Amino acid sequence: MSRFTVHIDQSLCSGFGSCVSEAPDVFRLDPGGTASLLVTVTDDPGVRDAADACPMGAITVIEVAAA
Amino acid sequence: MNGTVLVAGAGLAGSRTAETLRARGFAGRIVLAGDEPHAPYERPALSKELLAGTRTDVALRPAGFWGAQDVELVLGASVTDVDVVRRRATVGNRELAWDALVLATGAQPRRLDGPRGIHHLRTLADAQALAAEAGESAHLVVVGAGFIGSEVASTLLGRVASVTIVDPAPAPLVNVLGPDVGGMLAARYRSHGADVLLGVGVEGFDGAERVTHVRLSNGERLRADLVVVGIGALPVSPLGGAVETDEYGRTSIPGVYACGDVAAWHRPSLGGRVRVEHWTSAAGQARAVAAAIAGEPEPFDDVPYFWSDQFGLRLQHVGHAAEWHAVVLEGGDDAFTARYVDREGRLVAALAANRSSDAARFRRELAA
Repeated sequence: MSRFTVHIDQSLCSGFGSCVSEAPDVFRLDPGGTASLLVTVTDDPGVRDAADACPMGAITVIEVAAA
Repeated sequence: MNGTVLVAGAGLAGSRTAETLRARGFAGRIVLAGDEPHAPYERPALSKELLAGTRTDVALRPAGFWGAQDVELVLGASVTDVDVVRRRATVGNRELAWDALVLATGAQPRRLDGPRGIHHLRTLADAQALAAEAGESAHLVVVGAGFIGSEVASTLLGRVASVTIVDPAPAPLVNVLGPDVGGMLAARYRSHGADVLLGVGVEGFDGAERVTHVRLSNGERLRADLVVVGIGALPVSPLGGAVETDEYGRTSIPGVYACGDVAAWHRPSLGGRVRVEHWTSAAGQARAVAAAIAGEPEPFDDVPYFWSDQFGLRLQHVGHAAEWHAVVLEGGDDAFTARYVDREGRLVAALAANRSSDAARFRRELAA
């Protein structure tokens, strides 16, 4: 099974929120209006959809090969 | 296809097209040509963090990214003399043969010109020039209470001696938000210390070498030694003004595509072509154009979305409605939502202020 490390470039985040729709176990919208990570490493494949869905291009997902 | 893709315009739309082509495995030549001397950067930050001085780097991708992607970035070069029959164009001073042409040349600000001290804000160079003149003794007049005007006023409040916003409309952003919500914003601007003069236009500027006053349509003269004009932008392209496309980003000319601020993009959900100057539309259109060039067209029919950070509010607006029947407000001064509904009570647009979760919910509701 794949594992992914996820990073949000906060300088690009505009609080669009599509990441939360794609991977609600990984992303949340903070009261300040930007997204943050609930976890930084996950096996949720939705994070790739979240990265694609982010119109700002703020999400980076790196697949880490499973041992 | 293989061959050469020429992308005219190296802003968000152009650069995202180039990037997405490579991500989709396109192996041909990509030339990304922009008339500014900077690598692709975030334009929205110009009126916010860049002007505030809290960020200096607004590049969209790290240095070296474009080279690593094998995208030929040509800066300070306009694309002109486009020949759609022979598929040639002049890029800077070289002639280039292309197989696909993407028009992503954006828009230029509508101008009110006069003595020195009058600024328009579109480019990084514009923002740097404005920042350099925004000193603590400056009396700033902002012409136009749209996004540029309101964000510049918000950013420079407290840094300059005074801020006055002037707009002939009865409220800021009235075409998008309506008079009630626009009026709430005007009240907020005033409570933060900006003067807001509505229902009055600008006739001209006094001053010989440098501006000294703004002349208003009601005969008044406002003291001003720094002026920012934000009265809208007009699309520009080597083929003229706005470029019409279908919902895949294709123009009526084979091999020619368009995306971003320049594109009058067909949206089946809205029943026609709309030219939208928002980030998320440009980004989505760019991805669709890349898919079309790659021979795998995907329609892009988004719910228009914009955000604006101003006066302590993160405004997020979804939808595109020329008119509405009623506005339903909920919340308080510092966090609220406004739902714009038609006669049947259906949501046609919505604004969230410091309510990001509601903005996301409205967007899903409109997309359904």
